[in-house]
Amino acid sequence: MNLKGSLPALILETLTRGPSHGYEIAQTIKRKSAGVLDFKEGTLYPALHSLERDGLISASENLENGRTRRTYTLTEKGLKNLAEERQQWQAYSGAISGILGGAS
Amino acid sequence: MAGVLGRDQRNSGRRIVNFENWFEIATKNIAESELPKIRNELEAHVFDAINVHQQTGISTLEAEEKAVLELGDPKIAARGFQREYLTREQVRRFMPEPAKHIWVKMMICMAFSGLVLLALWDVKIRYPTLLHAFTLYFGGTSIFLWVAMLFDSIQRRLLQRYCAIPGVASLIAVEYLTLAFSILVWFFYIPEPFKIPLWACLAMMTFLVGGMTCVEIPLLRKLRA
Repeated sequence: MNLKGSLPALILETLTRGPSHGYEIAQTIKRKSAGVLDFKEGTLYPALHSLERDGLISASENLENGRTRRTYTLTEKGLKNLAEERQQWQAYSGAISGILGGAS
Repeated sequence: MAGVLGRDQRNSGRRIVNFENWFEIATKNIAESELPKIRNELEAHVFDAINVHQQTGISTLEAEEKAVLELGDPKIAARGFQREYLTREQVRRFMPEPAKHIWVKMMICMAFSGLVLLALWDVKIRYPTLLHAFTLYFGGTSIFLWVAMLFDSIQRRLLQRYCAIPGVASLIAVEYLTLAFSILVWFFYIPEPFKIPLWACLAMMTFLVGGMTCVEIPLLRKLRA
């Protein structure tokens, strides 16, 4: 299943568990979706930086084993945005389930 | 990364997918200045993935191949990167090196000095000698150019540190405002027949520079991070 359009919301949701870096975020999404979502990790970083620019997440850099690692944290604005996304998703999935669920 | 992840490695005739090749394709059109931050983050990601895959007992090269495959099609990633980061084309069009737009400064300086000369010709020095004119015109230009250079280095520092004053349009806008202000200061001394065309020029230039700056606004989003 393609993640198109839902990746930012999934990232925000993942970050509700606490600050995290790119690889960890990717693995959490994969693990939680049990492999159902077709998720290519290369698309994660543009999405992360877009969220950062919009102020929905913030990033801090720290040196780990000689490598610069960016750790992302959910902001207040991001939390509000996630609540809205959740609401919209619930309404949307409820409507689709109402139609497809009754089709059988 | 290059030690483990060198380019064009082959293993028994089979091409090994490696990070360097992936990164090259994914960031083909991305501006040089943007590459280090993308590379740092992706390298950290791939190293994490290699470490995890190596725990299953596979070789480093195989682990790298697996990690890179997980990144997905570099051409698809490239589309995302181009949306989020400055491309080479954008840098070429909107953020040329100062040397490339020095002629803009030269023209502004010449125009400014010319106006000063014009004003002084009419009011202060009725009949300037050639030496007066030469000193005023080229002396004024040199001083203004020097100030512009100084201003340019400040702009570059601002650009590097705070991503402020992003492109050549904004740069022209800032210098145009300086010029417009200078003209207005001297406006009282400018001879009557030149005043109306000057107002018209100022209005037209304001409109033009404003428009050019607006074109650059989409770039501001990319520059904010």
